[in-house]
Amino acid sequence: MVPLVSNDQVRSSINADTDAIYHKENNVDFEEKPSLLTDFTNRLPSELRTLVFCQLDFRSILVCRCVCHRWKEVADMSAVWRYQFRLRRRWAVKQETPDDIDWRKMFETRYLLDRRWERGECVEAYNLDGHEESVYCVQFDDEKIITGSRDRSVRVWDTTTGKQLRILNAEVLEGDAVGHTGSVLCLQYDDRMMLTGSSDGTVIIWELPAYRPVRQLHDHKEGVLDLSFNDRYIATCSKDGMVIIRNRREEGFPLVHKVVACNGSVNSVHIRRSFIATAGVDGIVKVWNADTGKLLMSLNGHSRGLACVILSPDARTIVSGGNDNTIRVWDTKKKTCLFEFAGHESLVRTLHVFGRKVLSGSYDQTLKVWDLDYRQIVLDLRKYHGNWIFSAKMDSKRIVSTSFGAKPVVLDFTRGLDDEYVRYILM
Amino acid sequence: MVKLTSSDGESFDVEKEVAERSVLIKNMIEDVGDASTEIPIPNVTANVLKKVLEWCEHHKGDPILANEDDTDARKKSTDIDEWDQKFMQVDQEMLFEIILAANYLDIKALLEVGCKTVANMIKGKTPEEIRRTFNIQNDFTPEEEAQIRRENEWAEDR
Repeated sequence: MVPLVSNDQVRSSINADTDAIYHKENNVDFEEKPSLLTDFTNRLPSELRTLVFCQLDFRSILVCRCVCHRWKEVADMSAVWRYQFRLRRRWAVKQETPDDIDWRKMFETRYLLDRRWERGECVEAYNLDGHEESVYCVQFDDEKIITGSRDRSVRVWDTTTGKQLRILNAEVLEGDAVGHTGSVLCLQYDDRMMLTGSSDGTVIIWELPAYRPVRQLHDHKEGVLDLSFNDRYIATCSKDGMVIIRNRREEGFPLVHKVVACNGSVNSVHIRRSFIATAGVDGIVKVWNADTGKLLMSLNGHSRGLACVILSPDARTIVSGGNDNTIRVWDTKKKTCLFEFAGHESLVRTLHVFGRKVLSGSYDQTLKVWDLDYRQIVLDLRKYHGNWIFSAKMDSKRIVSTSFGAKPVVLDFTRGLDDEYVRYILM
Repeated sequence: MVKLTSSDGESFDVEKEVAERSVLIKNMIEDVGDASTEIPIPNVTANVLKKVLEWCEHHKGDPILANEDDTDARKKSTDIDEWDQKFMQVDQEMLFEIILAANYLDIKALLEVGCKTVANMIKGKTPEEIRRTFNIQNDFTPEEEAQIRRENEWAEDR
């Protein structure tokens, strides 16, 4: 806390008084003294000083730190830097961020992280070592990474150390008698639940954080290629051409809709709100209403079969990719293709949307990051995989990707930054 | 018409619409319920009040700024309209008096223009230029200066 009246202020008011006496004694009217340049940090109360500093850009604030002790004190006020942080529309901190955090350091850390992404300066790349065969699917957060593999296991890893924490497979789970008997092709988790889908045609529902299998679904005649759930619905798709929609909220996850989504394999499904997007070998992106099971739109444009589709968090945008090597961005309101990201030289196998960024992974062995607002590529990562990329996810700190090889790759953009602040970064 | 009295006893007759740019005065008029009574403004002297009322007169038709509106807060500080820029061409003492009065009288838009004006006096300057602008003594030791430079290094474009 800054004291309301500092010693300096007291001293300067004493000086002013003696000045006034001096001037009166000399018959000079104090009022007529030409006004001097005044330091406003002296003149304005603390909340107004802060208001002035809030009108500055952060570089000017840094210059202000160099002026004098008093200015440094004002320029370092947390309120000033919190305001600067909030001006950045793409930045956000986690809810649990303490109120009294040093916002100047928070801003600095977040700024440096941005610059690393802009330049592709990833300080550390490391492998997750444990799977015996190709790894098909991945999801991660600040604590854990979960992967599913052709070796039929699901593994949980420590995000910061890369150490394997758990292995979930048929052998380990023998007591529960549940586990996949085929490749684990797809997975998703949230705080309470994880779903894994397999070429054995089943989906296993796991309770988190115990990783206890609670249910196995035998909905599909062939391999479960992809799945997606939100707080209301579970959607799974298969080589058998079907998309199955179940109710997540009710006991036993009752079946809601069964739709034939494609004459052939449905390779990808993604749900946001009541929208379910599907992509299949027919090359058409389809959007379904999860409540009614009705087809809302068919989006034509890709010239060959599709491998992946994803909806933006607001469900306004769909991104799709496939065998024609292109990524198309669609508007769900206008029902048209807005633009295309070209650059991959082979099948676009996986897509992920984070904020306004899209991450793509391809059989051309590269990962690329695109920006939906700038409509262009922002990062081209070519050196991390020597084989087909199967899945990739990103957040503000990392990219985790899996490929035909057994070792997923973690690209950590936060190494060396102050973890005291990194841990609170959300976006 | 409303009658306002400054701290040094000078009275100003102003249109109600003009006076009500100040949320403080607006609330006082509502409390009194009678616009004909004199309203004392104990914290503002006549020369400053005159200046503030000049601003209120010019801006009487403007929409009132919403409280803490995010989108407005995002406006760049160079966005000061021409009339306001001219209006703010006063000596520093008057500028700070206007800011203090705008804060006391609760005139958000004027407070913002005032703060932006001060901010524009800082922007693009070196520490030494800022010291000259505001008559500030550099009280850092060379060691402290070096320390601050190190702390600022992260923002340099390398």
